[in-house]
Amino acid sequence: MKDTELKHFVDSVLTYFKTGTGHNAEVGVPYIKGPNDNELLEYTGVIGLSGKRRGGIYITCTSAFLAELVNAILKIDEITVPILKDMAGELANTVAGNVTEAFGNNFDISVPIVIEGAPKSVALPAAMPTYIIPVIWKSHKAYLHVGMNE
Amino acid sequence: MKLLIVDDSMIIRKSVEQFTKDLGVELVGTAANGVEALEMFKKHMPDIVTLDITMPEMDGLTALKEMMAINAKAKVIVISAISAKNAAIEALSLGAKHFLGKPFNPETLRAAFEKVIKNS
Repeated sequence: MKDTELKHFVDSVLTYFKTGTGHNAEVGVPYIKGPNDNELLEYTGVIGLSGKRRGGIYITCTSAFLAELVNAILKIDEITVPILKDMAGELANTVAGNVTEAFGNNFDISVPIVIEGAPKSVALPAAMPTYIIPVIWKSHKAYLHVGMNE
Repeated sequence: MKLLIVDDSMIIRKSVEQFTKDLGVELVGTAANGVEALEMFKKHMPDIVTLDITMPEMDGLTALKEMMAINAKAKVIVISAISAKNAAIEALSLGAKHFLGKPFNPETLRAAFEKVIKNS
């Protein structure tokens, strides 16, 4: 994946928080996932990519991150597990959807699935490098993983 | 004006409901996929529909085509994360009155509603 392509995902994350919550997020320096970078946080939203580019993205978050995000959007304090899972899926969906213009025709995204808990890892195709983009928002951390073929 | 909200995300359904409370619309139903949306559409004959594209069971563009065949006067606002211009073009060519990108906030959503209501 080219640097310019990775930047589309960075921009998508930044736009999400700025527009959707009014509070800017920061992203750390992206890096290639190594053998010891498999840790998932409490909730992970996963989107499959198909068409001319195949692979997937997932964003893994803590419940505190998601609860604050829900509160920023809906101004509610009573936050249940289904709402946290929904938020993780919608965050992944929006970040993936917002790059579709940059990648052109025949670049399709799936509906989100959400993983609760911390299995060892989410299997993106091993033949392609997966990039990890750290996201910091209101002192909470999340990690966006992006893996796509050329 | 009767409103139907269609999105597979509960957060989005609640956001649309909350952000449009003071616009004089009456929420008649919510749906999480295109199949449920069509059932609700036939049952309630809403004046305004907010409609996601990427959903399980039946996607929003397929549902939109069916809705327009049932009642072409319904005002449909497609709300989608898909930023590709061809998605917006297809939605508008199928009869949607407005395309709003996600993420949205109360101001952008209300502006879309006001535009569609004003033009109705």
